[in-house]
Amino acid sequence: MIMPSTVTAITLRLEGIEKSFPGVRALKQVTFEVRAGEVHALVGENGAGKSTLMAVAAGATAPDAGSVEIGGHRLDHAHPATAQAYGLTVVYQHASVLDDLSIAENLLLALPPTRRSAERGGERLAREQLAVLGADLDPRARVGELSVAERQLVEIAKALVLDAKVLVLDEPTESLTATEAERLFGQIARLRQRGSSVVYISHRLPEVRRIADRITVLRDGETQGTFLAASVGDSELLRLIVGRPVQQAFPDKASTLPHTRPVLEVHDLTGRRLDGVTLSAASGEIVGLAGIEGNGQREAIRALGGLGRHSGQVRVLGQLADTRSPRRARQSAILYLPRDRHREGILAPLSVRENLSLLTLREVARHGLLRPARELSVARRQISDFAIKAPSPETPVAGLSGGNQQKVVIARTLLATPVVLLADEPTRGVDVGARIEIYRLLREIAARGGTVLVASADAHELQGLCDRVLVFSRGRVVRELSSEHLSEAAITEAAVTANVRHDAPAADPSARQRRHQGRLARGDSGPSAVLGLLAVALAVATGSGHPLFFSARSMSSMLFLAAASILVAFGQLVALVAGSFDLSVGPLMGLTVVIVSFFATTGAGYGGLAFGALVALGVGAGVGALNATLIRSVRLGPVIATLVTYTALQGVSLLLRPQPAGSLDFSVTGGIETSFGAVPLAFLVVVAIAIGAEFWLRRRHGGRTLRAVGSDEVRAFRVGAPVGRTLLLAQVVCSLFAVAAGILLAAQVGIGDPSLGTDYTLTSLAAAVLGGASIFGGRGSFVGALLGALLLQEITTATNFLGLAQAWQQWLPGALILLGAAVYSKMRATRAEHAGVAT
Amino acid sequence: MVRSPFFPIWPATALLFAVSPLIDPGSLRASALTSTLPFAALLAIAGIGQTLVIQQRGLDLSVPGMISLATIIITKAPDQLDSRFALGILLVILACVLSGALSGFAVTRLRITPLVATLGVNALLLGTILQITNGTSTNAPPPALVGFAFGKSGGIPNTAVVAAGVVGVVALFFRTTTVGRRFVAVGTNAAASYVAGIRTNPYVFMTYVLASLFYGLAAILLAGYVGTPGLSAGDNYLLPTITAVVLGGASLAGGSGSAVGTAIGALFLTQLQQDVFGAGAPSSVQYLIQAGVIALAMALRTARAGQLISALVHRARRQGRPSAAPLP
Repeated sequence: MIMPSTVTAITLRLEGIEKSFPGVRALKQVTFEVRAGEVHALVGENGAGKSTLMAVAAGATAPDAGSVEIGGHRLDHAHPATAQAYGLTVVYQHASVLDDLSIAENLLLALPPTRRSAERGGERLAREQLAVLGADLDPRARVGELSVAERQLVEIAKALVLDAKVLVLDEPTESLTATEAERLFGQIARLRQRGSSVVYISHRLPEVRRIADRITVLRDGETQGTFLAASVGDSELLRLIVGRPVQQAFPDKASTLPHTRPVLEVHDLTGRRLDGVTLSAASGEIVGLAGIEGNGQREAIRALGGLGRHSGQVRVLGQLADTRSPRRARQSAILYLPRDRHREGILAPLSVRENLSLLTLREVARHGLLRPARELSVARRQISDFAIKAPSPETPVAGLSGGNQQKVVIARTLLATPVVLLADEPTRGVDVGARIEIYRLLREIAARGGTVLVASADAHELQGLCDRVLVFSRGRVVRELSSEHLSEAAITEAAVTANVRHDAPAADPSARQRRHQGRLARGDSGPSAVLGLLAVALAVATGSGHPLFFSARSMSSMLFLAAASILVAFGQLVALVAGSFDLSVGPLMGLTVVIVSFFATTGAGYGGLAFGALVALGVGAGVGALNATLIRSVRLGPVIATLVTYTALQGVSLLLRPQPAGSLDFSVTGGIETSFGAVPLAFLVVVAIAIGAEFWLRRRHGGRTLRAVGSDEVRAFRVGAPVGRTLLLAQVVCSLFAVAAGILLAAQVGIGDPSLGTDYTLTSLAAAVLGGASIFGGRGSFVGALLGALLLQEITTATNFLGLAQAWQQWLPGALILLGAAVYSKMRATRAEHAGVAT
Repeated sequence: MVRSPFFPIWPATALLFAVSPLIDPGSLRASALTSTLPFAALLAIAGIGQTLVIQQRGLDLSVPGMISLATIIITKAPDQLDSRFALGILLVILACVLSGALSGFAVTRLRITPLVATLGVNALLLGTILQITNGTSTNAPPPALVGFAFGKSGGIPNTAVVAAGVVGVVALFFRTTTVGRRFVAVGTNAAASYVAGIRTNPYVFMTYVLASLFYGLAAILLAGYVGTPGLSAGDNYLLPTITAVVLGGASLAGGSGSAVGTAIGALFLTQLQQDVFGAGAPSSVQYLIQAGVIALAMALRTARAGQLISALVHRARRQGRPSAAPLP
């Protein structure tokens, strides 16, 4: 059955690919060829090596052996940017779009440099590409605010815009509606006609059958052959995928349900995406919840499990149940099996034993004291009962396969003896073998007299597993399918027909409105506006009682002091935006003072200062590079790495100047402190830098790359961003800003004092955070950092004028930081909620 | 919870003590040890507070403010009278609970990143210190405290006994109680713990309160040991606590962490300081050696020697790859 290679052009050739990860041989001598103008499906179980193979093709993973050839070019050094340049683009299963960037920016980032310049803001391009896929989204919207399906569409648009010779789609329809999937298939057909190749990775055989020309099966890292789609049957494919004949995948259903008492009764469940859901489930029953993504089935099952705010009446075995939290839900024997296993299921670094006993600690303890022997024996029993494949009960769960992790979660949930089990995508990311066992387990729970609710996007699964399926639309149950009416086609049909109008996201007016809510609230400039207002208000309040506050002398001295904090805050901001962190900026300022004190001595004039500054900048660049090396190459992480340099720099300063010494040239320090009336030159320069840098950060490719890398390193790497270089530069620029701040500090103190500067580390952090920078990287504002640092300095000056106790110089900034951070966090949480991200 | 990452600090500390006499012949004499141990003990106690916070994916920047404030309260409130010693302790406890509760509230209710929350709280504490002292120096602690801090039980400094007790209780608590286990679970994965029916917020909240209490305890002993501690006694504790925790094997990503590891880390750090000091090196060299040792210890821990070398060689060849290679 294996097709001999023909004369048709080969656009992607992987030959003899070999790849091992610690403990796993992921790919064994895999050879895979894709022709021009074909749709080539790659199928196999989870863990078969499909994604690894494509990561190798995309240059994201270097193979241990074998060769990759894209469009006739050999990919010698694995790098996504190279693979992309040769014409291969990947749409990843979990959209690898960058949350902190807008849709348009995500598209721009993916474009090759030659096309980038022509696109300016990229908004027109984004609108066009999204229109092709039928998505009506604002190109300026931050991707982090979009729903999962919308992000997937952006990911696809990003790939289509590249006009790739080879487009790899990794489970692209997982979160799409039927209509969206249809549009995607249309685009795939268009690409194929143009002579491009499409590699389509999927586990949905019907989909594969519809669009693929050829199919390659991968099992345990080995190819099982390549077939013409038209000439291979489903059962044959399944046999190759699973490696053994597949019998009945689903357990027998409950034999004619006697109309027993309902175990679960839900009345008028209302909340986010829930508009009065009423349902009931009987003993022994498995009830499926279906519908197009976002119609409330997911929210219903989570609400019953105690997740997500809601109202309504829930009864279990006739008793009112409290479902305000998972803990309370559990008291009524309602237990939720999470969909997102990594986020809400397993405790990855903890052992299988510790994971298994999590819900039932009380049963392996006496008076709050754990009984290790008992815990271990319970764990052993669960491991054997559920056929969990783990070397020992002490193995960290992270080391198990997806299917076995899921079995751990199920096993521990069953230990808690649920009467109502809520299974949210129970077989997501689980291979076929484990899937069959999970179906059997769910059936067993039902058979024991409980009831099971299953939410699944897989209609085939619902058909095979459930006794009854409820189809959701717009937060209500619109159809009930059971016995002979229950089929895959009927489920899909009911979901789709009920949703014709709802399908387009644009129809939801609140979503529209939300996206057009003032740019201030969700953008990076909101904090700046608030800080600016506060600074003005404080100045007015202080100045009205104390006119001297506005005198040229007082103003210029305040602004000069602020200039140093502002510069170092810029540095910290660059590090923060890059997703890093720099504790060493303070001591580096101190070292700069010391260095300058050797050169800009009395009589040395500006020449001495210039030389000293150059030396200090050189040292600063070195410190930045050292930080970057410690963070990335030695893998210390930013906190430890810059803690090391923080300590070392203090040592170097003391080594150079054990005692304060070396008076600076008075004429030079005076020059640095030049002021035009109330405004010092240094402050003007700093403002100019802020404006220029802000423009760069928002509008230039370099700024976008910096934010992209800070937002998510791995995803930025996938779109070809030079991650290592960007982080190195960020760390160097951060240090250079600290050196510049140090020169201003030197002018202030006028002597080489080795003990200075350390306080600036926390000030810089406070200023950047007040200015709206996220400690998690990807966002921040230079103008915001400027205003943050200015406000902090103004507080110090104002408290002096107002005759307030010294304590206020600490209390006010402290309160401001807490208040500001609380407000930003609240804003982010609200946005996340709107976007439907679980918080 | 004795997993591989906690391991390397033991041989490292043993090695350090083994080479100590080569650097400073007197360093292992009883007199030298009894002067080192109290400082290690204080750092260990404060470090355990930091360990708790790091286990819950935080980083506590309010250590300096809390320790300074507590030393000031315990020296000011009793006014050198033993009869008012208890009052001083009560006030320290009150201050610690308030400060910790504020951090905890900011992290759990206001959803502020721990780093930022404790940065803000630290500023509030520093302001309070200025308010209480008017910026002028402090009193001496009550004689009973001084006596205790310098005293020995069975030849071992009391401070070390207290530290050992604290370490033992905390370590046992995590290993043997359901509450301890849940605490670890919440630190490892708060969302999963919540779904599993654990009320996560109280655990995180209590972390900050307990951490502050540990800082307070360290501060009381510190005041007794150094006499008049000044206004910023706590400044010397922020980075060392973090260093001790990290040397002790905790991951800044949360979840893992061990009281015993932190205590050994504190011992290592203090002995290192002692050795460098004993060798007559100026403080500049102390800083440099400390930095080098932290970097080395961490590098060995994160990469394990062999891997490190191969990683460096590898890295020289391929440039610009992210540190976490995307796995399948």
